[in-house]
Amino acid sequence: MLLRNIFLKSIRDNQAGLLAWGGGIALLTAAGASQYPLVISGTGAERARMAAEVAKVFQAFSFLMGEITALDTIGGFLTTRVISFVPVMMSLWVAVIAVGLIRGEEQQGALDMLLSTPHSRQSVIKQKASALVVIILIANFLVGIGMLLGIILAGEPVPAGEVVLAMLNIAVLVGFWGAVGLLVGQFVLTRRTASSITGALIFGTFLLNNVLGGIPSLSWLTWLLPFHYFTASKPLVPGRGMDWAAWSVLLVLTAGLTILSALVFSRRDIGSTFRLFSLRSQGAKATGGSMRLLTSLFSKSTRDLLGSMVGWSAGLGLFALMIVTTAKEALEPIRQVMSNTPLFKALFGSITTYESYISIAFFTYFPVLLVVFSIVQVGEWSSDEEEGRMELTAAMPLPRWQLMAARYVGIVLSLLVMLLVISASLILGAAISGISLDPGHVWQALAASLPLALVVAAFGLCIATWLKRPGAAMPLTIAVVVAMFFLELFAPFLGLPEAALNLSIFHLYGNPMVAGIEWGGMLALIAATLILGAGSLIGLNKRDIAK
Amino acid sequence: MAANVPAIETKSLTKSYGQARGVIDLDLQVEDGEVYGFLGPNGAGKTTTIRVLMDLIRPTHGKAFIAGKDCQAEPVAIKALVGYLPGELALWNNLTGRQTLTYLGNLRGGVPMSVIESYAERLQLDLGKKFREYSKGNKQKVGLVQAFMHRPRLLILDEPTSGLDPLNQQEFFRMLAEAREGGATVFLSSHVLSEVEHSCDHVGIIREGRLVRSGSVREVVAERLYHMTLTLGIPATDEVQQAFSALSNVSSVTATDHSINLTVSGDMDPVLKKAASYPVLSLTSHEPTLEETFLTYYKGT
Repeated sequence: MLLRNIFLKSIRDNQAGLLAWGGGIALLTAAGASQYPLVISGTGAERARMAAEVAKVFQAFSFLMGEITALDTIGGFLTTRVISFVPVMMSLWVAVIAVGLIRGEEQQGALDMLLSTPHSRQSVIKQKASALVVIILIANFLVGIGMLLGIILAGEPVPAGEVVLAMLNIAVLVGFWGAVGLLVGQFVLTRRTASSITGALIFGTFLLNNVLGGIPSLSWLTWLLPFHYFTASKPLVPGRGMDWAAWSVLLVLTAGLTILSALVFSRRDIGSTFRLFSLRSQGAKATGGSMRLLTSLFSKSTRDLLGSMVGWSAGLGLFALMIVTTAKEALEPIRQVMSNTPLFKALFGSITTYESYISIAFFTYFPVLLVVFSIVQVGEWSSDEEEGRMELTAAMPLPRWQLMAARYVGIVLSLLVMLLVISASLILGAAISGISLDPGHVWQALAASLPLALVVAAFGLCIATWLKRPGAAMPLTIAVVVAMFFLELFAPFLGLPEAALNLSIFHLYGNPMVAGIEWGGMLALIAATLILGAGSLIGLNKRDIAK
Repeated sequence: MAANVPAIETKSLTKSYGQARGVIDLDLQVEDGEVYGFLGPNGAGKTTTIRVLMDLIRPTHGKAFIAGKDCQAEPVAIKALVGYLPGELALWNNLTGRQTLTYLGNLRGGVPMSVIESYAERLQLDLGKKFREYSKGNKQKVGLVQAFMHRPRLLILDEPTSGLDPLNQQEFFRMLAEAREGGATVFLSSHVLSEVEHSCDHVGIIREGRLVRSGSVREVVAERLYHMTLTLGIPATDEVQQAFSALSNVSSVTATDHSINLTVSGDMDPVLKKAASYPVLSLTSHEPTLEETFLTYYKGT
């Protein structure tokens, strides 16, 4: 039934992702909302006092949360705590889908066939964009249900109408980024590049909007950012409501970008990009490119990762710099409120030193981001095999294990470069803001993240070499990592025994920035990495190379 | 390669994909220095056989040998001997032809750029373009250059002329002839029967995973079928038709009015003797194409 036309087929292609992402974000939203009574309790003046104290803590994270508002209401709490990150996550996911709609099918070669059917390019992009709208609406519906469920669990009055408006506001922002993804896909050749560019735009403008919004002299610049028009509406906050003009701006921009994509798509060559300028010099074309790092499997693997190595290092380095340079201003209000807020105590322990603040503000996210890098590498390996690029390499007179070993070398080198850049950022940030950090703990926290990222890479690569379809390795790895992340996140509330918590790599990682490396957990991670790494070498040696 | 050791040998080679068929009990022998054409319809098992030889997939049963070496036990040694062109070529889209060939050459211990350029020139391949910018034919040329550039003792080529224009096909066959003169063995799969007839010494025909015929091109060509039309001085009744149908080497007997059309394989003598018992006004015979001969095997008739 879903193969009747391009519109339905596009929905069909994304139904699994819709359930996974929509459902996953809905669960996160429900969990976030249900935490409200743990953070803010009591009534009247007591509630207002707690809200004011928690607001001071949240203020330290305002570059991630934006405006901190009305925490004494469930609507204000949700707007600050949940609607700060949910739209970013949904935008990233939708942007990847949007890029895939045209550029993804084009890269596979399937678009040639699709366009050989009696459908105009305008019709193809119209049907695909319509499918994206339906996907966004369904995802928002799921998240809305999650939010309502969380509010009910929190025992607060249910503002159903406001939740619908909040979802409409998220939908238009997510739609905007989908339109950006669709457009970027017209100008670059690969799905990965287009997704990376759009992802960087989403994350960059999100942070910029939050940071500039907190600096009165520069806040006018946020008018240039899409998140400004999203945050103008706060329907869940009593007395704020929807800013329909801002909402309409996003809607018009979304429509405009989609029409622009359609125009560009109808004028460009399939399999190519729309070029405003010819950037390639004839000289470069004549020489056939640089031969650097093409001497062995190992150097080629490193060469393949150079782009992402630079991108990830720069992104993480800037993130580290931002955290350390704001540590001084952030720590004092946190110190004041920490002792009065049971949830924060349970979640983060005591935050009294710069190390403990940086541990929470940076080293909570940093290992997760490194794990994401590892998961991307698993996906790269799988697509190399499934798309046939491994066929000739495996036919070279080299033992197969070298193929896998070369990939590990590339990943380890990339991680080491990232760690070096981050440590430089931390040192620089500390010097700028005039704070002192325990260098031993900084190095331990960075070093401990290496086995954490490697164990995920080894797990993914291991199952990729044992599964008949290596493409299934990436979603399986994501599922396992997400399960372990939630296990660690909700551990304080679940009351699970230590043995169960040790199943999470994030638990084994511990809190090295504050407590130093927990060698038991670290050795377990290293042992698991070695076992899974050996498993991937054996698996590759035994398997039939897929085509 | 050592004397008296076949360049390629498979013994009861079987590769199954669960319920799906790959190859079944394949016994293949390719002698050193010969050009062997491996023929069969789509899905017959040609690529599966080639990928087992290259140790890209592992046999369910049986063994495959190249130059006497077990393909699964000594894969690195056999790959050093082989130049391989896969049936579906996928390479790195962001590398130019020159970068791709340099890299693959380096993985083989280094190939002089002059050799790469010489093959590229012969095939009119622009090495400065990125792989994704190449047409299908030019991608195939990159594949061919990488297969030939290290002067291998054995070339394993899966549908090598796919996507090449006639001029480049001719150049490819010249490269093949040179490799053969230099002592190389060639194992190629193809659908283009005329090119197999002209370039190969031996052929093997595979159908539904089984080798249904193997022999020299001359032997297989000698098994050609002939279409014969007899015009008789009497009506071609059912009785007359049955008389010809009863002959063991006659198939497909049809009649119209006074004419009978026969398909005859091998020895013509019994047909001519049977025809002599009727008043024959005329007899015409024409040789079917090699394609028709192969289609007989393909269809399993």
